[in-house]
Amino acid sequence: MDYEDTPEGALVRRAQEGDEAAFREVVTRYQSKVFSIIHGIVRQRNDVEDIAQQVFAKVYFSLRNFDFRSSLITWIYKITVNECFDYLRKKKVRKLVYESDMSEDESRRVENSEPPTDRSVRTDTTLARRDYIVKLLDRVSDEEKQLLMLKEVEGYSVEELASMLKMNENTIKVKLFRARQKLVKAAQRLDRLPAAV
Amino acid sequence: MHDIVFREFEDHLNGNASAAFHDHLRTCESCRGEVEGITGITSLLHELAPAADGNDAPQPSPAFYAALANRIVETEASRSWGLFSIGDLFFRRVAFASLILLACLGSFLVTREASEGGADAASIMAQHDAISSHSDSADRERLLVTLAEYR
Ligand SMILES: [Zn+2]
Repeated sequence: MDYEDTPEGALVRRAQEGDEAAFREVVTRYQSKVFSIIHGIVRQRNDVEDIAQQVFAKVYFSLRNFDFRSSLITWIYKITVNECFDYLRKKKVRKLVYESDMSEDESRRVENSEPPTDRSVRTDTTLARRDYIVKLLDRVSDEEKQLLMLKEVEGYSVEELASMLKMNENTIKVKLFRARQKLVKAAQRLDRLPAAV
Repeated sequence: MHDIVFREFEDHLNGNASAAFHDHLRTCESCRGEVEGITGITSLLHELAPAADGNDAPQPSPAFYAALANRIVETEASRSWGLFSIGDLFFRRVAFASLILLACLGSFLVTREASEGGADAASIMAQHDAISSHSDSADRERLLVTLAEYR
């Protein structure tokens, strides 16, 4: 059965035709999932709701372009991941501006204000690893990001991805492999530029 | 990288690669190095899994949809330079309903003041002054509450 002919396909069709109740149902159905994806990537509890609003506003404004080639959640997932990376890029710019405003003395004071405990060292390591992989992912295409995230973060199998994205399994394997290779290359480039990490 | 490694890499990550795959890795240093690199990077991706650090994601508040509707209406308005030129999308109803509500409330207040006073324009205006700004702000607050609930 084509996705368009499933009950969810019919729901999307109604939302596309301007049925507000159908759009509300789409939001209700996927809002928790979207919150969880965003939190996994950005880890800033205070910003999750704002990013989620931005995601569903984008869903609303581009719903008419949804062509049923993938499932709705796959499409929303891609929008969510892109929105998170946009957020992180903007945040990085803000951070750089903030840091450039501080004198060297001020920067040192901020850095030395809290002696590291075991727990904070552990948290710092986790955060550093997360920041690192986010930086690497930012260097691959949107499609590659989505594939890698669906496979390694969401735990979908190659078979499931093939069915969700309407591609054959071999194509998925090839695309995944190329994406992984790009991450490794990005890591090699990043490691050669320690100041940029 | 040799073909067998390329073909079976996803199986390898799931622990299902063939014996031939492992035999190849044992003898081919180049493929072994590349597989180690990719496997290491892949493990980093797991850091992004929801609750990978033991912290659950926040849940949407009951007001999430209302706030979203608000943002959509505002975005549409700013994109189209005003409420009257926005497209035929369904949140337009929310925006127009807000305007109609405002207009109805306004005319209702004028009618009520006129009928309660039962006098000419001057006495209505005098009465209005006597009612003071307290009543105006209360009406505005009620209107805001109504709009917020509606959205
Ligand atoms: Zn080899």
